[in-house]
Amino acid sequence: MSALPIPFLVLSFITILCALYVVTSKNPVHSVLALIVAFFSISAHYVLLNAQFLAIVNLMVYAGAIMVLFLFVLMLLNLGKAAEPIKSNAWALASAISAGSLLLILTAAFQKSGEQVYRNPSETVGLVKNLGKVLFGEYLIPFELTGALFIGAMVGAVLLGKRDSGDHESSALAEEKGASS
Amino acid sequence: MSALLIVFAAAILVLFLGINKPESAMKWPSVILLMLAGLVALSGVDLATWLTVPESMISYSSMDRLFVALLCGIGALVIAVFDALSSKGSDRLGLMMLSLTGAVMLVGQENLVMMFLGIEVMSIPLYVLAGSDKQNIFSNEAAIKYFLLGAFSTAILLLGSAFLYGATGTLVLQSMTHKASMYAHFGVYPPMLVAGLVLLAVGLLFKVSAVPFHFWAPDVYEGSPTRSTAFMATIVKIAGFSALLRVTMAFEPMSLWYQNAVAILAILSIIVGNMMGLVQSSPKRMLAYSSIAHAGYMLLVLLLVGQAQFEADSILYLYLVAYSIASTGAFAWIEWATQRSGKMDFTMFNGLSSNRWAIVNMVIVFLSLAGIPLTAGFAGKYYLFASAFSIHPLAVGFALLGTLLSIAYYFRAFRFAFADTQESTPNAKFSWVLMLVSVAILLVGCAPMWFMP
Repeated sequence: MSALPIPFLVLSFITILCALYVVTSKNPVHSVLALIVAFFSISAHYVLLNAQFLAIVNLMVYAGAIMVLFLFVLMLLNLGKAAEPIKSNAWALASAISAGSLLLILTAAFQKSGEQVYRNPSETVGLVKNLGKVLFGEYLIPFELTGALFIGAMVGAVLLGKRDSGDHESSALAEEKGASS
Repeated sequence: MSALLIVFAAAILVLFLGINKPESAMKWPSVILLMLAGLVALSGVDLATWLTVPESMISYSSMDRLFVALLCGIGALVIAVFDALSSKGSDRLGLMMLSLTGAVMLVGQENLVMMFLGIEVMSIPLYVLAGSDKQNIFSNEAAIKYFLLGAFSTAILLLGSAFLYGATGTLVLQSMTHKASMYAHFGVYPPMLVAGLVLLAVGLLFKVSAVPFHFWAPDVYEGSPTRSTAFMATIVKIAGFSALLRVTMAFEPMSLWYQNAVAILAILSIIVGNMMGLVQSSPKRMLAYSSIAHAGYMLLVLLLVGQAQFEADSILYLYLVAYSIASTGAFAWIEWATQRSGKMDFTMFNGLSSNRWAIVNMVIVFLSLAGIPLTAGFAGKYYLFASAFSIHPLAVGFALLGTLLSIAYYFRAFRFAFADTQESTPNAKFSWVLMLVSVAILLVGCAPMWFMP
């Protein structure tokens, strides 16, 4: 494997460092802030791969919308030390062993797979123009069917979020009917 | 494709028409719409001729159309068998049909993008349906558990798809077959292909709740409202196994490599499902473990892929017909007995034998799940075991052992039903649709060749 470019190394270092801090930090607000930095550096990775559109979308959706949501939730929840559930050491050990062995297997497997990897056919594939052409041409059907996914998620959110006053009314009505008949 | 559009349109229609009506008003219309979609799928007419769908995305062979018809039929059956809720709005019915849309997409997928989309469209409404009994704390637990674990399994599936794309340079399953046969010719598989395939399989096996990815199933099945449980146990299994079969067919040139792994997973599912089923005190939990065991039997079908003398897809189809009809019936029984007695454990069946029609139906449903001759379950198991025996006799041996074990816990329900108790037995309303289930089971059991494509 040839020498890796310096920007890639620097960005990967920042990403991994931030990701580690997200997991190890005791303060949830700090982890969220570190997560934002991690998302920014992942976006920079996308730019290195010539995928500008993906980089911007990643910033807007993750670093923008989702992270702000995270911060809101954290501030509303007001997580104190008491709120944190106590986890036993056995669980931590078990998950560390299983995740560590997965990491070991994957790195061992991919160590020598460098030359067999499929490479990007052209430099311009990630530009907005080309992406749009692919999305509205070859991938039109999946793109349209994403609508089913969104309506499912929306209806579900409304169903879970709406207040139950209707349910009570109607069940009371049903009981009355049952009593009268 | 027409059936997919009909189911999707029906979901939207039911959602909007039923917005201010009680759910029972939209129950039969949605059943009729789903039956219609099933009939369209069976007949194979293309209603949307103006629509050109690329073959590399989604396509329905005649076998896939049968699976779609089965999905629509079972969806209609689940909606018909269970009582509609008294609450306002038909959003639960709409969500069920949206989930069905995803299942239909999953059956026709030819592309990893479509597969991912199908799984998500199918799962997200299911997470909500699991928690749709908002006052019940167990339902909430089921929803959060299913959602978190399901999200993880989807992430694993996506990682697998990304690896597969990296290894083969395509997302189309058919082109992957060429690559796989090329690698199989030389006998060396690139690590990325292997890792991708394993991770993809993990994601799919989670959905069908095969051991060791089954931990969510008992809690989620028990906590969810019974109608959602019946829907989950049938629709997800049908769509999931159809997707698993398609992936296995795409990587069939590598069959020597994965065959033993599949057999081990099948044996584990059969043993764990049946052993744990024996010790449950709640019938719903027992059925959850029984569905894990059934997932194990159906995994044996994957061993038949690539063997020219067997038609793996039609054997799987017959088994799924038998399993899903009987499973819907069994969950409907549990719901009926719970409403009748107000209990959640096996004593709910106490004194059921006084109602003659009810007990006959219940016996037929549970015998079919156990696989006793003349019921649909026997036909499905017979064709499956007889074909798989020549490929992997050891796994079939374990499957037979598991079937014997399963008889013990299915018959436990009868012990309670025939027990002579002095309790008064209020007779709940007995649905004629449940009679239909028993008739269908006997019909499939007596003439399985009509249902074998």
